[in-house]
Amino acid sequence: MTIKDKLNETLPARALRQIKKLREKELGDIAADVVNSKRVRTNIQKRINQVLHIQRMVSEGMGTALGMVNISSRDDMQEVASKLATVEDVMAQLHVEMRQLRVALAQRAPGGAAEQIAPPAVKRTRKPPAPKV
Amino acid sequence: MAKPEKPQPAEATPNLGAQARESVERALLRNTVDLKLPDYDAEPVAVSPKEVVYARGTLRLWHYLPMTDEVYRVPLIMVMPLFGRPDILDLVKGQSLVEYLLLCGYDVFLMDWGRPRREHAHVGFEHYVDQFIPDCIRVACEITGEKEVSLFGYCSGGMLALIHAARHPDKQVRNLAVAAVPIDSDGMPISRAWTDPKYFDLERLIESMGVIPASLIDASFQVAKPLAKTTNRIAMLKKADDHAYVKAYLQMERWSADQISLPGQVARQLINDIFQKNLLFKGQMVLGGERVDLGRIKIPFLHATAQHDYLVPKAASKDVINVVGSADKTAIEVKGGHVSLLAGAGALYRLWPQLDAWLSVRSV
Repeated sequence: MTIKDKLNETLPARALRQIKKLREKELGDIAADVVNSKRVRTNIQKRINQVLHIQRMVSEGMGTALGMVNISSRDDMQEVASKLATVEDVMAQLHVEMRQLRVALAQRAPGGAAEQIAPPAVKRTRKPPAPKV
Repeated sequence: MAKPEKPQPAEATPNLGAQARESVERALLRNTVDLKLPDYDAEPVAVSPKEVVYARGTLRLWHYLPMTDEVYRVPLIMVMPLFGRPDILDLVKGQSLVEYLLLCGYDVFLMDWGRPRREHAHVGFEHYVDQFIPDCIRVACEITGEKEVSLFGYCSGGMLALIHAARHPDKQVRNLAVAAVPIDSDGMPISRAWTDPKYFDLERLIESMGVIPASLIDASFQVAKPLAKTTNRIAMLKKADDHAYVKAYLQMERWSADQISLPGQVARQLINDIFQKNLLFKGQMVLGGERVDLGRIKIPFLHATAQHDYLVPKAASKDVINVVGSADKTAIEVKGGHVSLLAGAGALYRLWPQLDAWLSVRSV
């Protein structure tokens, strides 16, 4: 038996040959079975818990250390991002109120001026097309 | 003594590596234009003209500017899924459900949930179905001068629309259309297994982050079909010379990577009540002290499903039609997957015309 034959008989090589024979769907099903096996699932779920724990520890530890040298931590930055998002939400509310004012103004304005402030309402009388015979 | 061989000059030995490199470089130089990836970032998404007409927290209600002189009387409100950005319904010109409906003559509104943050951890289903949706219906009615609207909900947005219609049966919803709604969690064994409280500590996650982060939601979608992204990429490479296809693929890819976080309380209800105990399907889900009975829905109802939907398998969605109490109800199944049902190139010929045909006669 040559070295090449021996290599071909090793487990990874056989496994690769088997995989090559499989079709896309079968391969997908096998991957789904592996990923969703109880062992993989429980391990990933354990890791998620560990990551959350570590993240909390690191966050608390680093927050204190960075605070001492007057540097913002990740939590500080997230808080800033959250506040900016809140400002955006308020801006959107202001935009809505301005729109309402514009509509109210248009209702009071005389004929031609009204259309410049707010577009006229479309007709709501559309009918579905007649069914094809 | 053997005569020593005369050494060959170095240049006579064929240097295959150098030749190959030279050939590749030549080919690259010749074909640089074709090798360039489409600049899909340059083409903006969600471009149908619209304005925000209501804002509350992260929620925005968008009103699209009508594209026809005359519109159907009953306005249409689209309820987005809890996890996805609304861009998918208005991807690009020519591949946009919103644009299609506008051209068909509908007055379209869209509820965009925005990106919930830690401070929204307390927001639950009650907020969505008893406050956000009614608020948006009220605003749409005020703007249009009408007394009723049609609701269209996609995926978990459909679930919200269903619960709203069941809890407010005498209110202003004239028609209800939903697509790919997960309702029977017995048909979603993977979601149920991954959220099993024996292994998955949801409370710890909510306590730590307030919301379920978008990255975790994206990962949870991948477990149902772990090789899906890889096979899609291989399929894309096979059509790499088709720029329109590659561009559409990359836009879809960009959208699917842009999930939104889920507020902690909604996650709690979704996982504990719906995925684990299947309470919504059994008619035993309680919100605000009141049982949600989908049988109370009596308005015209349409449910669309996709043949190859692996995120919301047929087993999880097919019975929506049976639990709803409407006399006028229609179920349609079209070719496609969970996303291509609404946003794929084929949707223009498959679902959209059927949705228009069903809705138009009920919107006058």
